[in-house]
This record gives sequence, C-alpha cells and structure tokens, in this order.
Amino acid sequence: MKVVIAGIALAVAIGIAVGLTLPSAREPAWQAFSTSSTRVDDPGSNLVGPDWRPEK
Amino acid sequence: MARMKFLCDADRCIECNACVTACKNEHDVPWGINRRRVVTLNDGKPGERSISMACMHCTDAPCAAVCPVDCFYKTDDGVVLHSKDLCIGCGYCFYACPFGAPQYPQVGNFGSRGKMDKCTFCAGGPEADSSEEEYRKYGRNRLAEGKLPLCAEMCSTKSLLAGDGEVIAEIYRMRVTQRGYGSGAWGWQTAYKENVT
Amino acid sequence: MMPVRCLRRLSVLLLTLLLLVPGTLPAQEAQPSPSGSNPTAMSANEQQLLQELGKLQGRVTLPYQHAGVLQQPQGRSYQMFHEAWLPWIGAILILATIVALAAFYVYRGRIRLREGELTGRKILRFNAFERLTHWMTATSFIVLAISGLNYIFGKRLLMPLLGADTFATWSQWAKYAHNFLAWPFMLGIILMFVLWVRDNIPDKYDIPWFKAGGGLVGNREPIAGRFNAGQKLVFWSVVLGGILMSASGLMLLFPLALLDVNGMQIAQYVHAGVGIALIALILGHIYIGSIGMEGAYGAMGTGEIDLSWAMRHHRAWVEEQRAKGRIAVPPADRRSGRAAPAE
Repeated sequence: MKVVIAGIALAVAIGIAVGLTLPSAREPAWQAFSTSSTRVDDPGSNLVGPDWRPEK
Repeated sequence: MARMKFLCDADRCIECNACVTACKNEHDVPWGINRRRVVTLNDGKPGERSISMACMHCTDAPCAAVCPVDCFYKTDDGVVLHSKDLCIGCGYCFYACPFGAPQYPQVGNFGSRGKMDKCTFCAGGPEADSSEEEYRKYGRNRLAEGKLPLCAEMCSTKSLLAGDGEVIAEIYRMRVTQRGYGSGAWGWQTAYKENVT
Repeated sequence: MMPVRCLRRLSVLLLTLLLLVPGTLPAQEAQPSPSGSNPTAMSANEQQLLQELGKLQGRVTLPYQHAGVLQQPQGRSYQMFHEAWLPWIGAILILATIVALAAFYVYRGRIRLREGELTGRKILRFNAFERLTHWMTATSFIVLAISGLNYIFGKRLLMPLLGADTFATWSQWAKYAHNFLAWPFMLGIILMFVLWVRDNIPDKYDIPWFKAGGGLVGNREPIAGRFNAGQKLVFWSVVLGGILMSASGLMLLFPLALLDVNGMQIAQYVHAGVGIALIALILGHIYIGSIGMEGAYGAMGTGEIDLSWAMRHHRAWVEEQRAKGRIAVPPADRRSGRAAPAE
C-alpha cells in the first residue's frame, strides 16, 4: 500500500514540476506573430485580457 | 430575419488589406491576432488571385460542434459568436475551422493558449450590447448600432460584401451578369453548402 | 513528321482558345463583358483547386505562414469524426467492455483460491521500483482517461448537471491535469518497457496458453512464465498504444510546431482512437487484477504472492527462479490449478 501511495505522489509531483516548467515553452502571440519593427508601443490588452504579458 | 454572411468577390480584391486594417482598428485587435486576413493564391504568377477571409459564420458551424465546453452560440442573425468566459483555449475550433478563423493570444502549448478570439461579424459577444465589458472582450458591437461590419464598409473596391446572405448574393449575381464573368462566392460551398454564380 | 505534329498542336491550342471566349461558355448565363473577354479566365478557380489539391494554400503578409491556408474543407471531416464517429464508437466500445466484464463476472464469478491451497510462504513477484512505476503510470493513466473522456462526453453528460460555468472551470482544470500528467505517463511507459520487455518476449508457452483459453474458460491449466500470453498482450498493447499516445499527444501539446492543421487533425484521430481502445483494455486489466481473481492484487499491492498461487499461474517462472536460487523452497507439490488470465 505504501508503494501505491508513493506512486500516486510521484505522478502528482512530476505533474506539478511539468506544470511549472511547461509554461516557459509558450510565447504571447504579439511576440511570436508580429515583427519587431511593428512594436512601437505597449501591445495593449483589449480582447485578450490582462494576462496578456506573463513575463511582465 | 436576415442571415448574415460574408462574400468576397475575388475578381475585385486587390489585396490592399484595408479590411484587415479596418478590423484591427475598430476592435483594438492586438498584434499577432488577425480576425481577418488576405490570402493570395498563385502569388506573382499569371492567374494570381487574392481573397479576404475571416470567420464565415458557417451553417452547422464546425467550431461550435467540436467545442468541448459548448461555448459557441448563434445569434438570430445567423452570426456565430462565443463566450470567452467559458472558452478553455483547447484549440479544437482551429482544427475544425475550414477558414483558419480562430486566433489565440498564446503560442506554444495546448495547456494555455488563452481565450480564443475570432471575427464577431462586428456583433460583440454575450455581454450587454455596446457595454464596456463587451468591448474589452469582443470589440465594437456595430450590429447593435445598426451598422454592418467595418471591413466590408471600408473595402476600397467593394470586393468584400457583408450583410444579409440573400441580398449580397443578389448584388454579386448582378455584378456577374453585368461584367460577364465571376469566379463564384469563395468558401460558400464549404460554409453554407450553397453556391452563387 | 515534325511539321504535322506542330500543326496538330497549334489547332488544339486554337480550339482551346476559342472555347475560352465567353459566350461560347454554356455554364454562365452572363452577358459578354464590355471588353468581350474574361480577364480572369486563367485565374485560380476555387472548385478546381479544391479538387486538385484538397485545400487552398496561398501567401499571406502575416509572419505566421499557417495563416496562408485559405480554406481546408477537411475541417468538416474533423467535425464529422469528432461529433459523430468518436462519441458513438467511444461509448459503444467502453460500454460493451463493461457489459462484457459484468457478464463474465456473472458467468465465472470471482476466480477463487482453493480450500487450504495457501502455503503461507510468500515470494517476491514485483520489487518496489516495479510497483512504483506501475502505480505512477496507473495514476496518470486514470486521470488522463477521465480528463480525456471529458473532452468527448463532458458536454453531453456533465454539462447539463453542472451548468456551463462550473463545467468550463472543471474542464479547464481537467485540461491542465491532462497536459501535466501526460509526462509521468510517458516516463512510466518508457520505464515499464525497460523493466518488463525481457519477460514479455513471446515464448513456447504462449500458444498453448491461448489454446487453453487462458484458464478463463474450461478447466485446462496452461503453464506460463513470468507473464502469461494474456499479460504479454496487455504489455505490448500498452507499450505500443502508449508510444502512439505519446507521439500524437506531443504533437497536440505543441500545436502547429511540427504539423500543419491537417496534420493536427490526424494527430487527434490517432490520439482519440488509440485512447479509447486503451481505456477499454485497461478496464479489463483492472477487473482481473482486482475483483476478477483472488490473490492477483497482492502482486502489485505488496509485491509478494503466495507460493502456491505462483505455482498455479506462473509455474515456469517459479521453477526458473528456483533454478537461479532466488527462492529457496523445496520442490513444491506439483498440484497446480487453473492458469492465470491476463492481470
């Protein structure tokens, strides 16, 4: 039974570790899909909400 | 009740991107998100053709069908809208959409693509018409003000038509009769299972 | 010779040109245009391109080239798969598995140990690391299965109960769980493959095991090594299915990174199809490892099983272990019961 619980705990631990690292593999669309020459100002947050720039 | 549709007269589109710019400005669409785009086929070759494309507000909309949280709904005008409060950003609608309309604020993983954004036919979302909240999430609600989508209004060659499907189809038919040729209503077969010649 | 051919070609060309002049075209009822010609006659034509290429792909001025897909009617096929085929096949396959297991339980009951069969001598079947790997993978799999089924059946079954808002919140968390627990699952598949592949290579006992119905039906008692043929079937299905799930899942996890939109659709066909099949298979696995057979759970629970149970179900393995000196036991009585079905 101990090993069963350890297995569950291990799965959850790896899941949480991945959950903390995976978001670094993501990029906001304003960065990915616009060329740097167009970025003259703040990208704004209309239509996409306030979580637009996670690294801010 | 009118059934709202878009029709791009491909014989007139000159790829000026005025529709794209009008849309971007009207709804304060951020960089990297494009509710409307112009695609050029056979670019630079004889027989080149440009078509302006956005959400076609399909009959039996594939995006609405595949959504795992059922966040889409259809207005009385036949406009396909969605709720950003329910959207989980899974991206299924993008795979189902024949026209590549759905856009996401995040790139890179399935887990967190953010709330999907797409053309609303300038009809906002589920919030109260023309409210501040609706504008922040979906952009201007021109339909509620009795106006048609700005992309079509702005079209420099009147290639892009927006409005009641029967009316714009009739306008297109008249054009074809007068000028003697036409390439059909692009996307209509896939979107509405009908065609206009 | 040559001039004749040239002339023939020229006449064909002329004929084609004649046919292109509007007015001779029967399809359109339009009047001849003011200029008397159709300036776009040679231009890209929607239906023709769709027939030739299946989709319309052009150029965009946007920095992301996947926006250049003007039209992909395959989206309609994806809709058909996702909303018609998948829910029906999924529901039928899973329900049929449950019904079949229930029917088997009614027919055969719990496969019990015989009176006084236990020797009280325990031998190690799975060490702690093997069990840890099993339970880590099992936990991930169960969460993945539930959150995966939620994508198909959630809006049909749960949403009317929970309401749209609660269901959306739950689905959001289910999606995170699905994404993040996919990783311990992938790790588990690799570890299980490394740990158990040696004992899952087909051997001489497999065909007789199938012929004896695996001891599930009838009274014949087939011999088996560490894993019997049914368990090997489960192992290879999980490994191959797991690889397919991992490969297609990684494609879905990083959308459009390697595949275009049609590739993403195919990844999803594979992911959903194999996923449903694995869920049905694992339902059977859970049944036989728990309520289906007395004494089977201990192997993965505590890692130890009774010697007589081992003799009965995996005699070749016990004898091999004994030959290697790993278990010091007197040659046990040769009385052996029914063989083990797949756990």
